[in-house]
Amino acid sequence: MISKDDIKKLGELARIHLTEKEEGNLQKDLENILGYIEKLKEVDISGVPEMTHAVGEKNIFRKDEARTRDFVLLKEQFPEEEKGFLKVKGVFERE
Amino acid sequence: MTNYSNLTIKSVRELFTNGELSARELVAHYQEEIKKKDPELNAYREVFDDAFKAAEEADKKIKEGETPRALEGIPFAIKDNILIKGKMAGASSKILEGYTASYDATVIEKLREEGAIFLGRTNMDEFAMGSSTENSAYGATKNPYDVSRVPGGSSGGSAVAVAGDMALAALGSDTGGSIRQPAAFCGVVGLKPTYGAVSRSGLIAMASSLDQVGPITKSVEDAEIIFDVIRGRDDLDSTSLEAKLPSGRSASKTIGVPREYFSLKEMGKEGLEEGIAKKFQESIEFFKAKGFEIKEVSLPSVDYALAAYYIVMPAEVSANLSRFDGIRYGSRAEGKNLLEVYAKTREKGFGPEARRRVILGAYVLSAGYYDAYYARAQKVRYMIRKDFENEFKNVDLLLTPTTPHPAFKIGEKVSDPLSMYLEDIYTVPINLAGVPAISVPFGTIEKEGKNLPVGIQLIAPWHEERRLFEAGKILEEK
Repeated sequence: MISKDDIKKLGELARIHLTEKEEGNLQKDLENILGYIEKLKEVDISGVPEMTHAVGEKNIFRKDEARTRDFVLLKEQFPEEEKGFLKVKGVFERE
Repeated sequence: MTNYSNLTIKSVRELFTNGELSARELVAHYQEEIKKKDPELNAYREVFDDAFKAAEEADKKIKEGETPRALEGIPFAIKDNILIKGKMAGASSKILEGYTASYDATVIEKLREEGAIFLGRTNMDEFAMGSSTENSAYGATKNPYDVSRVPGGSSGGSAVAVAGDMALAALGSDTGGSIRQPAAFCGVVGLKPTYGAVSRSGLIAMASSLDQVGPITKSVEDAEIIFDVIRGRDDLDSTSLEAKLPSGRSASKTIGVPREYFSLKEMGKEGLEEGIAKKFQESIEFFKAKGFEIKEVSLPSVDYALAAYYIVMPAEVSANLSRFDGIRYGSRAEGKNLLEVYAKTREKGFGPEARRRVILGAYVLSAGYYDAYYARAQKVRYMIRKDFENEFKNVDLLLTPTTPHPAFKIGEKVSDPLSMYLEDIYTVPINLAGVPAISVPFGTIEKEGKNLPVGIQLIAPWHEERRLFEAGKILEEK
């Protein structure tokens, strides 16, 4: 039902590096869980709408104003920083 | 001599104003209990060193004759996924190691405004994913009634803090049963409010359409007092609502017992355990004797609730957990390029259950599978909500056991994810429908020479928490 290649692909999509052993375990676990979920196929859902919101489906508006946060504390959370800025690896790599 | 284990918010308030107890004495008592018991129970991830100072301030106010606020000097334990400004918060995950919250969750702000004191943050299943607190990256929490058993989860640390007399009250979060199931396993009260009744701002999100913050307490009245403090509409959570005034009858008269709860059997695995069934029957008789009319009702779609939940929830998890990538906060793993930094950070940072649900969520949302899984689950969710709507036209409340069996052994289910998922079979439908429910302790049953608590669940229509408190208070008289 779900192949090891599928798991590999999902790991890439979800940005999680998986070891080969874990791919095998996940394949087994997912097959089990998806097997259980199969029972939803028995339900007659014809004409039933999707419940897409937990509460009423209406837009909630508020003023577009900046909120004060503790920027010192925020910056202290940066895993890497340079001159007070958050430092990350480049999105594009140089040759 | 104060009998600490029987204290409630109301009795503490009286003792404070009579000068028979001070907030400092109370905080010192809990800190002492934590020191004694917690090396074994592991309910707390961190005990804050400024609780005593906050207690001094509360005492000063009371001494100066200021009218004590609703929670003046009341010591709380807070689940590790609720942000307290300046304190570490980690959702018991390695990926947030070293993270300090830069703001207060709205619920924390509200508790603070009413004078609450924060004793520490409590252990949980990583990102609230689990039903035993064994999925914490920092070791399992143990059940004070039998340390070879789990306290339930994911708010296991908060339930044990209250049950083990290491806090007067606690906050937890409930996505599929994470407040009610540990409350049931630990013999305390746990409330899952109506979806939207309490702001989720500052709660580390697991599945946003299901998550709610709620209290874990020693009495129903305490749960009510805390709920009244934390509820209300909040600009920072667009799904939060100002509760409408209770509608219809003020006092509940009819209680429905859904027949499906007796026949729920999953993949040949155990349904309702005999001991719990007996206690449940007892609770029905008790309500009858108190003048309630008991009606058999039917929620035909709840048979499919858990299956729908295990599509909706991981789908939301995979989206919510994408923010943990080592870029802005938490731990970051080294890699030769950006993509590798993400993948390595998430490999090292997430435990097995978090990874499993992220991958499962990515699968059910991926192209070609959406209609077969996610869309179908959302339709079934609609049907479940309708079931509750229909039956609440006939009855004021619903009554069920909180769990199919009492606390299980540590290690018993950890290697079989599906059997762990089935733990939440009685609590999950409530989150899918968005209605409020409370678990109230109802005696114990004996197992291997130990007395294990049993929880009874009361369910009310949307925003009718008052009905839960009224009936809950009657139930706890027993």
